Amino acid sequence: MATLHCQVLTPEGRAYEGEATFVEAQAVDGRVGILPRHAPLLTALGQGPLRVRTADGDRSWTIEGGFLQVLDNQVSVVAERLTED
Amino acid sequence: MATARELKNKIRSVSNTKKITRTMEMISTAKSRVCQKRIEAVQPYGDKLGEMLRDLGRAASDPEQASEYPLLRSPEKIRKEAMIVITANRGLCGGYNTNVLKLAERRIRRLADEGTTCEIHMIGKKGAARFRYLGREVTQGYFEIDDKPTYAQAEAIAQPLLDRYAAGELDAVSIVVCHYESASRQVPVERPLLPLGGGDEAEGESSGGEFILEPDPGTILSHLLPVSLKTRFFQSLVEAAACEQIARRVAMKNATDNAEEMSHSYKQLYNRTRQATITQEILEVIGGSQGMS
Repeated sequence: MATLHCQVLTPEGRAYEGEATFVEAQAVDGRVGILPRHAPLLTALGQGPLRVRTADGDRSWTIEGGFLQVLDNQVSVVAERLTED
Repeated sequence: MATARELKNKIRSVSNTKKITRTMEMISTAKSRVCQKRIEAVQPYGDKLGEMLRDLGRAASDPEQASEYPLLRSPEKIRKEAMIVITANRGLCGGYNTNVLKLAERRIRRLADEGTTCEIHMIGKKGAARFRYLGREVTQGYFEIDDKPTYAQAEAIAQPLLDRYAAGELDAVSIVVCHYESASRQVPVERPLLPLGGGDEAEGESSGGEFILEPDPGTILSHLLPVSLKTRFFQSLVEAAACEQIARRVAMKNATDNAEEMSHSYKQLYNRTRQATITQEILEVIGGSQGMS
C-alpha cells in the first residue's frame, strides 16, 4: 500500500515523523485530506484537529495556527501550537 | 605576616567559595546542554517556515500586493525603531550581559545620529539595571523569561510590536542578542527583524515545487509572515538562553580554577608559618635550657 512521509514540527521540536497513509487537517477555509501522491500543496491551517493515519493506528493532535506543505509525497505540518489528544 | 589562624580562616573561606562556583559550573553545564538541544529542536521548524516563505515569495512577489500587507511595507525613512535587547536576569556570567549591552549602546548611538528615535524593549533584569544606571529610558522591561523561554512568551512580546509596525507606529524592529555560533563561540549581533530585507528571503534553497496554494497566496502570506517573524524572535530567545549558560559555565570554571590556585598558595603560606612558629619555639626551649645550666 502506498504511503507518504509525514512530519509534524513545532517551535519546541519535532512532534511526529514517520510513514502515514492519510493526513487530515483543518485549513483556514475547510478541512483538507492528503493521500499518498498528492500534488504539491501549500495551505494555511486554522484551529482544529490534525489526524495522521499510520500502519499502527491513528495519531491525533489539536492545532492552533500553522501550515501544511505537500511536496514529493512528503507532508510537512508546521504548527504554532500543538496539543496531543 | 599573617598568623596561622588568619590563614586558616582564609583557606576555609576560599574553599567554600570554590564549592559554590564548582556547583554553579556543573549546573550551567547541564543547563547549557538542554539549551543547545532546544536550539536544535526549533531549527527544523524555522527552516521549514523559511522554505515556505521563499516558495510563497515567488508566487506573491509582485509589488502591487506588497501594499496590501502592512508587514511588508518598507518605510522610506526610519523614524522610530523598537529595539529588543536580550540580556540575562542574573549575573555571574562573565562578559555576557556587558557585551550585548555594549553593542546595543553602539546601535542606539548610531541610530540617534541617523535621526531615528529608539524604543528599548529590555529582556532581563541585568540589562534594565544597567540602562537605569546609565540614565537611558527603557520603554518596557520583561523579566519573566528564564533559561527555558517558551514560544508563548516570545509571542506575547513580539505580537504587539508587529501590530504596531503594521499600524505604522514603528518603522523598524530589531533584536540585539548573543548569537550562538557553536558551543565554543558566541558573539553579540544585531538582527533587523523589520522591515523585511529583500536579500534575507532570497538566500537559502526554496523547495522548488509548483504549489497549489490554498486558499490563495495572499491569505497564506498574511498568516505566514507574523508566524515566521515570531519564530525568528523565539529562536533569538533560545539562543540567548544557551549563550548565557555557556558564558556562566566558562566564568564559573575560571572562578573555580582561581580558587584552587589561591587555596594552594594560602596552604603553602600556612605551612611555612606553622613551621616558623615551631622552629621559633624550639629555639626558645634550647635557649632557655642553656641559660639554666
